[in-house]
Parts: sequence; structure tokens; C-alpha cells
Amino acid sequence: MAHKTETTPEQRKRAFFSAIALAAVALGIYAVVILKFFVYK
Amino acid sequence: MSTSTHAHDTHDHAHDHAHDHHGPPAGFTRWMYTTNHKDIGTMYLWFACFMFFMGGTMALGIRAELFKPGLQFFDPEFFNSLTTVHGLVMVFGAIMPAFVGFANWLIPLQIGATDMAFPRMNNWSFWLLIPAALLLIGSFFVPGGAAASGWTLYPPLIIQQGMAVDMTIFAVHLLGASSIMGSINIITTILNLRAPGMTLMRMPLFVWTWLITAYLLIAVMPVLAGAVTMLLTDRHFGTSFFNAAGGGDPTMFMHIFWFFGHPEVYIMILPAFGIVSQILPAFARKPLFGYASMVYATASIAILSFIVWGHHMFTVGMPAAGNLFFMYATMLIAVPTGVKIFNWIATMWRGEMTFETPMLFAVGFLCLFTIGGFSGLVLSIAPVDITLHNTYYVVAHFHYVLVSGALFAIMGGVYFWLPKWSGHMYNEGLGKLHFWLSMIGFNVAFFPQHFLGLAGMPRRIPDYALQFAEWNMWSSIGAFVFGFSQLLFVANVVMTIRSGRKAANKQWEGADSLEWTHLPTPMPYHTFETPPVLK
Repeated sequence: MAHKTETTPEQRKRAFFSAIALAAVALGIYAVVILKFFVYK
Repeated sequence: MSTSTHAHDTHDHAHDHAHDHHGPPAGFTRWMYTTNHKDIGTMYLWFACFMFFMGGTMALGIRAELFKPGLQFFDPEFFNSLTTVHGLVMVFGAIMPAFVGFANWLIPLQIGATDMAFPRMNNWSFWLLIPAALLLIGSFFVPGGAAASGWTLYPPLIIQQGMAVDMTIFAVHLLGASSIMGSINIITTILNLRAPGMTLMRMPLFVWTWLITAYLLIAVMPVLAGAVTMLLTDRHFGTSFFNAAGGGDPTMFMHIFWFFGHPEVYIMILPAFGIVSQILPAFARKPLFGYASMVYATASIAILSFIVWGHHMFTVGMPAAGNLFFMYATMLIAVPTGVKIFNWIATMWRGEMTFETPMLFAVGFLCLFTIGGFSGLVLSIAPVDITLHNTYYVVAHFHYVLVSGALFAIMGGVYFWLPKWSGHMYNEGLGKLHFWLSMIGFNVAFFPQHFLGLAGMPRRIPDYALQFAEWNMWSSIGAFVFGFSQLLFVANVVMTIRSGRKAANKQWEGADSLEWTHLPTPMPYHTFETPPVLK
């Protein structure tokens, strides 16, 4: 069988941190929309 | 520049995969627990197909009611529910999941990755759609009937309706979570798992358009989620964000909704641009004209989409300076869009063109989307929009963008990649019949709606004045032709999967992305476990 090259640990680490950053952006936008109005009210 | 490929690689990878006996598990568990991007892509596409027919059935109900003046079949409340859920189902249940299905199937293949970066999250993203769909469709059967405010969910009406609205709000939250997780997966996959040598500017246009679309989704889905969360607290927890009776401002909801809603339009059309940018060069047998400018135009459209939301609200009483800003900003989008249209035409110019079904849908897209774009330009002119707002002209406009734009690209894309996905060739004659019936049915259904709108017929009404009768009759006839011709599509797809003749490894000689040049047909269950060699 040919040698298989799955994703490398480095790729997995970078993917993990990319995902965390993107999730934080999404949650941050949601929080800003909600909190802006709660604080304003 | 598109990816350069080498014939010997096809052989090498086919050889590798011939040794790979690891296939999918059998039965329902394969689909329930799958983390394979191809399986998940398939599920997304079938889900979208099912929801398309659900939404289409509602559309035919609407057109049956409007076939002639007077109330025929439905009471006005139910008619309003039909228009609302039709819109929500088509946007969130059909078009968006269909494009995510394409993304799942194609992005790993086109960048030379083994799978998506987060396969388990990919599975969860899909399965969240099922309860969301059940909530949306099930809301017809609760006391008070389904939400009837239009897909925009405007207060104060939406605050006053029954529990169906809560179901809709929950469904929107689920769909939003699914979209955000899907987008995170797509971005991380594209940025981190590309094969060596697959630089960003060598990626196929479809991958580029999805990368930009995924960023749009992450930016605007939380805004929609925030808006509907506030609707929920207005309904049940004593707040008055949007309730004028409590000191709130319904217009604020419109601003927040359309800050999501206009980028959402591009979320539904940018992947279509990507699909068309793959099909046209393949059948013109020429490289895509102006690859780099296509990438920059896509990014420009995405950025501009954040500053044009006010053109949906010209009639709410914004200051003239506000209207002017949104008017000119909207017109500006015609520039990058024009770049794309001209690049597609230049791609075809002096090409060795043939017109198989995918090409027919791509050229149909090009002609009809341009009509939708031009009617959008008409509506961007604030004084004109004030007359045409909430008329059938708007309905005609966005159906030219979303049906003959997004949906035609989806149909063309399915015909284009089905031979590679299934290993079988579809029935060309049936495909062409499907295209022409769709083309004729669609135009008969929606072109007269421009006339109706210009004559002043308002949208979202179950009855109308006698002067609108004739064009409404034609519109309904066209809608039924279009609707029933989609059965040919499903029949063709099912027949292809079950019994179509074997497709070639590279079914389309002009196709040059990795799935055509480096992989056998049919593809093995796992692909690119050894990254392709790109030179």
C-alpha cells in the first residue's frame, strides 16, 4: 500500500487555532449585537 | 492561472486507490455517523433537493391562488404563511445547503486535501439542519399557523403571532449555528489543508468564492441570531427592543436584519459565480479569462455588501443623505459584478464551445442573472424604488437573481459533477429537456411580474385588482411548467446514479481542476491520502 499522508500535527494545530479564532469572532459579533442594545436600554 | 496538472498523476493516484479497500460502512449508520466529506456533501444535496420541493410546493400553492382574481383556495392568513415559509425554506433550506453540499464535495478534492479539517463538526453541521427543517415545516401545524410576516420577520407583526414564531426563531438559531460551523470548517480547510504547491492564487474559482462566502457567513449570521434573540425576548421576557408600544423601534430591526440580509444575498450568489466559473472554461475549452480580477471582484462584492443594506429601506424615512449613500454604494456593486460578467463572456469568446447541459445552465445563468442584476440597478435608484417598493417588480428582480442565478448554477453544477460523483453519465437528452422547460417556464413565470410591479401590483397579497389578471395567469402557467419540469431533474439524477452508463475519468475535456485530472471515476471513498503533486 502506498504511504499515506494524513494531516500533519502542525496542520491540525493551525486548523484548531484558526477555528478558535473564527468561533471567537462569531461569538463576539453576536455578543456585540445583543449587549449594545441591553446596555443602551 | 488555473492549476497545471499531469496525466501520469491520474494513473498514480488511481493505482494508489486501487489498493485502498476501506469503503463506507453499510446501512443507516453510514449516514448517521459519517465524517466523510463526500457522504456529508451528498446528504446536504439531497436535503436541499427535498427542501426545494417543499418550498416549490408552497410556491405552486401561491401561484395557484393567484391564477385568477378572488380567493380560490386559501384564506389570506394562510397565504401569508405560505409566502413566509416559502422564502425561509428556499433561502435557508434549499439554496444555502445546496451550496454547502457542493463545498463539502468539492473543496477537499479541488485543493488536494483528504477531507475537511473538522469532519465530526461537519457531521454535526448537517444533522442540525434536520430539527431546524422540522421546526420550520412543523410550524404550519401548531395553533395560529406558521409565521406570516414574510421571511424578513418584521416586528411588530412577528411579535404578535403565535408559537409558530418561536419555532421559526429556534429554527433560525439552529440554521445559523450550522452555517457558522460549516464556515469555520471551510475556512480552516482551505487555509490549512491545501496540497503542497496549491497556492491561494492557483485555487479553482469555486474554492475562492466559498472562502469569501464563508467569511461573509461568519460575519453576518451572528447578527441575524442577535436580531431574532431580541425578537424572542420581546415576545416572552418583557423587553421592548422592537416593540413601539414599549418604547422600542421596529425600524431598528429592519436595519439589523438587512445588515445580515444583503450579505446573505451574496452568500447565495457568490458560490454560484464559482460554479459558473468552473463550467464556462470547461465547455469553452479555454482558461478562465482574468482569473485574478475574478478573485478581486468577488472580494469587492463581499466587502461592498456590508454597506448597502439601506437600499432595502428607502421608504422608511431615512434622511436624504442616507438614501443617497445607499443608492450610490449599491450602484458601485455593478462594477465588480460587471467585471465578472465581461470575464465570463471573454472566456467564451472564440472558444471551442459545445453546449452540453451544464453549459446550457451556465449560459442561461449568465443571460438571466444579468437581467436580475439590471433590475437590481433600477431598484437601487432611491426615487424609483420608492414607487416600486413592495411591488411585484421586486419579486421579479430577486427571483431572477436567486432562481435563474443561484438555482441554475446549482443545476448546472450537479450536471457537471454528477459523472464524477456517481461514476455514471446522466441522460443528455433529458438534461437538455429539463433546461429548456426550466428556461421557458421560469421566464414565463417571472418576466411578466416586472410588468405587474410597474403597474403597481403589491406583493404578498392573495387577491388583486382585475387589471392584473392576465399577466398573473401567465405567471402561474409558467410557474407550473417550471415546477413540474424539476421532476425531470430528479428523475435524471436518480436514473444516473442507479443505471447511467459509465463516465470517463475526465468526462469534460476542458475541465482542469484536481478532481478531473488526478482522480479516477468513480472516486474511491477516501481521496488524496497521498497529496497530489502540483507543478
